[in-house]
Amino acid sequence: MKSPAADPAGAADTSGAPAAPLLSVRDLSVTFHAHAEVRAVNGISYDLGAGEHVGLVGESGSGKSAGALALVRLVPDYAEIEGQVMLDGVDLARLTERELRDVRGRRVGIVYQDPFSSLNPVLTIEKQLTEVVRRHSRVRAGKARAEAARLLESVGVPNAAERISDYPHQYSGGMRQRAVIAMAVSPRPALLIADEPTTALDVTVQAQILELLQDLTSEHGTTMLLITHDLAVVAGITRRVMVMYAGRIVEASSTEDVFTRPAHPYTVALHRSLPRIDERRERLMTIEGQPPDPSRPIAGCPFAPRCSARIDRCTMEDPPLMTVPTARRAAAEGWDRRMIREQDGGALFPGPAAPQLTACWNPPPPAEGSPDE
Amino acid sequence: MSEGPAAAPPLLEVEDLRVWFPAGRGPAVKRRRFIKAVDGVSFTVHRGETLGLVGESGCGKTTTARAVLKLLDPTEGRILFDGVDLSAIPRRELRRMRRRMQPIFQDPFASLNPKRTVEAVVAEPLVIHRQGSAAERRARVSELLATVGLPPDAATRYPHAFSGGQRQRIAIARAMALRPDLIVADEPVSALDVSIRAQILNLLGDLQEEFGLTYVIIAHDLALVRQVTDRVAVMYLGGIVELRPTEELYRRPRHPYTVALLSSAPIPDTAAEQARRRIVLEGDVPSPADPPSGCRFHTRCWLRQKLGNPEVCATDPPPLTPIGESGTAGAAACHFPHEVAGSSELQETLQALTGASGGAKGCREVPVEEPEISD
Amino acid sequence: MTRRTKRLEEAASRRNEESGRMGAAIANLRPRTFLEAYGVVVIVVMVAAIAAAPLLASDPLEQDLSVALTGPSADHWMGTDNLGRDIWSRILNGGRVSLVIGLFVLIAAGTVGVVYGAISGYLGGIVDAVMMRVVDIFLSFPAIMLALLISAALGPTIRNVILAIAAAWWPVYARLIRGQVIVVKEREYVTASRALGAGPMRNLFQTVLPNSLGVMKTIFVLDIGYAILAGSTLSFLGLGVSLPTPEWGVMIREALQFPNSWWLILSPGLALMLFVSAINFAGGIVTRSVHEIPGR
Repeated sequence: MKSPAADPAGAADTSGAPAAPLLSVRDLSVTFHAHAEVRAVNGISYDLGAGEHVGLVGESGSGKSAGALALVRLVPDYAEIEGQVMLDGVDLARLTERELRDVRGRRVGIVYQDPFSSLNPVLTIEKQLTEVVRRHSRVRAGKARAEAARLLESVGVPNAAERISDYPHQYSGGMRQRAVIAMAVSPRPALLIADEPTTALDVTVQAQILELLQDLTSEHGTTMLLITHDLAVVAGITRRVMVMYAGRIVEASSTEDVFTRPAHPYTVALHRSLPRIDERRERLMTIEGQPPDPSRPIAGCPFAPRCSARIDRCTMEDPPLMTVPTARRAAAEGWDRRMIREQDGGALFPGPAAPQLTACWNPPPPAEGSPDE
Repeated sequence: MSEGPAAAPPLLEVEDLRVWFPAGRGPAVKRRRFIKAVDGVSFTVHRGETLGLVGESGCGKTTTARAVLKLLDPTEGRILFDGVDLSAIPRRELRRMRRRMQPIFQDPFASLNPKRTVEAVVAEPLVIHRQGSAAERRARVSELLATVGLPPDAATRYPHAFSGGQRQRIAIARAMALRPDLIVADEPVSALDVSIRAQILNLLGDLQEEFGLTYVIIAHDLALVRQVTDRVAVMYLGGIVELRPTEELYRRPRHPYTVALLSSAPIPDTAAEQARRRIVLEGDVPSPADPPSGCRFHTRCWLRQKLGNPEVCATDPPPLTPIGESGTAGAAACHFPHEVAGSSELQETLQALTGASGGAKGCREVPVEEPEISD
Repeated sequence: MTRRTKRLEEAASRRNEESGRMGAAIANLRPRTFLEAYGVVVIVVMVAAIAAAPLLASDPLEQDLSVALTGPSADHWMGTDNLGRDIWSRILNGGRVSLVIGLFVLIAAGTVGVVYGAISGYLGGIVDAVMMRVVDIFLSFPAIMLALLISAALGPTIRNVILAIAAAWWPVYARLIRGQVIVVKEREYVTASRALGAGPMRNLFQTVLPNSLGVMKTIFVLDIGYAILAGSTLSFLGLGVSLPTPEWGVMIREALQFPNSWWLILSPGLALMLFVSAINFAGGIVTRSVHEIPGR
């Protein structure tokens, strides 16, 4: 189970050699064998570097949650997982259920959307925290209790010493989520998957929880995969963003690029269709139609039926992830959409050092006057 | 669609509304205690305008909406619809009034009867109010389906065959069936996929324009509220803390709670997000069974702390006081509106919001004016 | 992943949304296990035989004392009773009585129970409390005792047996449906209907009730078997259908007088057991169709 490559602290590799990514996903597919075959995740590949904060954005049904939870095989029985998931050089797909259980929690922490569902309502917070502490490090009960109290305090629960003996229902939504986060980070996991951690919370609490997640993960050099449907949520705390649509990664780039010069028509359309807190628009741009039915095979690009930049090729051939030329190069050589596919040889996937990628045959040109790198 | 007071009498007037639910059904019931879900709320809605009710969960916005629709009885206070006091009229009369005010609910998966076809669902209000013959009703249903952008063959299918966005269209068609004056929409898009939301919001806007509808929209999403409303009431713990024309609220908020809300809302802009400092509200929202004395926000107020905890906040509930002299800038319920206006927290919050407009040019159409910080 | 294949297939067959409501309903009614198939076959054969009784057998009341109490033979393949009546014919015709009792008990008890429970649950408050105390009183008697008492008071006819069992039975349905109604009436589509101005009657019977009946369907089907058993039990105890009407319970009772003629008790006993167990086996199909029809 223990891998020689595993860095105990999970901290970034500081040596000059190209660091092996902490997590490396290749051709991950998740198929639900329900009433029909539903291909929720369709062969996605990406790398996460140690200590990175990466956002995974998509609407419901885009496969963002299934794709992330499939990393540690937390999917229903009728789901089939294909592909390779390497965490610290260990192929998680090959582990037995027992070994995998050890990985979950110890190496990979998970924070779910609804904090209530991840807490046992009949046990006190102290009991549950202590149990988590003892499961991952064999310490005496007294010491574990002290550690539990320290953890609860570290996630910002006020009066932690007193409130640790409360039951989950005595906590507010935000506090519950704090307790869940305390459990998830207690064994110092290398990877933290936060699946819509703030969706069930109010705005003022949401901001606090996001800040807490950022602080905790930065402090311990934890890699965080933040899954959300809300683009605005990833703006403050991630460095990279992967946008998913219909089970595919359609765009991957630095967070800044996703906001300032999105390279996929879907991302552009999302930006234009969402109300913004900082301005009122004449009219929201709509994305007509619905996301495709994942139980039917799609010819070409899954976004093509709703896309205003559709060209003939889009309906025939599913575009792979391709490099987007930098704005400077586009400016120097004249923007030509052909530049995109010409420079790509082998398969490209999002990773710490990857350029901006888009899965589009006819991507939007870089915005004029946008900040160049 | 107009700001400021209209000449015509308001369509909806809510006066000092209180909705208390009995609480403490525990074994030791000493005194009757109440959850004061809504505790003294007053506002008016003019014809053709959109009023937003915003606030966090438990602030009483949904309860207010239900009381307005007479889905629950107010403990105290009056609700006047087109000048008629809804609690003072007989049942029959109320049923007739109901024709003119219709709800749209948050979850279109829950608000449509799964056992009935779309046609039956949309025609239900017509049947209840005995409008037209069966043939006329059928014609009206297909007209309504077309209005909300659904194919005619939708009529014969069951709600489960539709996606969330389409279901919400069905719910809107049902609400429109009796040609209402007022639509009360409780979080109309928050259960929908992000790429569908704009469709529904635009549809609501189009219907308002075409049929002169008046909306009360309840939402927690401040961005959405800015987009779709003319005036906004910010609620906290069962009361309105600020009631302003929308742009006034976002550019010149005058209540510390509103400022905190604005400072917490995520901005889709990396630079703005990383640069901003948020106002962190201490603790949790107090229990509505036992709200704080004086200003209901004083226990968590950042401004009060900054001002050295003045006593008045804990003793006197601040009334909703008009802002400025013109009387068109709305009202806020704070003892220290000028201190809010002059605070660095407000400036920083607004800066973050407007600083955001620098980026993402490719995705934007409307330039934003510089905010003015003075009254 | 191959170890999951079987379960995957099961899961795949467990749901079918695409084919639409009717298609799904029909697909769900197909038996999926041996016992379900067995149950369906037994029910179909028995009901068909019972329905065609006049064609398959002679008059159940015709006496022929010359062959009284003879065992199975070519003429009377289930034997005859003490008056020389053909058991086969009495089984078939007795089945009619049993089935009628079962069905009518359910219709009567179901209608009363559903309406009573629905009103109680929908109105709530004091009305509900009072109505449910009445139910509690009924339920505090053992059902069979209650049925015996009523039957004894009314006299042994088929109609009275039905009344007696239904009277003991309806409170169960009332309580069940009340629970469902209380849940369903809080659903948003009910609120939506209320906001449209729908009155309480319309709301209860058009919106709440249709969405509350799901569970009832299963219980109804299973209860046909128990209602038949209850009818036979009353007859067996002498308080149900009386002689000479053929009925399975009555036949068993009669058979007790002739302990040496084993065929007298075997046939009605087997008939009762086969039929009731078949209903129980096949009941799973109904449960499934109720729970798996899409659209909640």
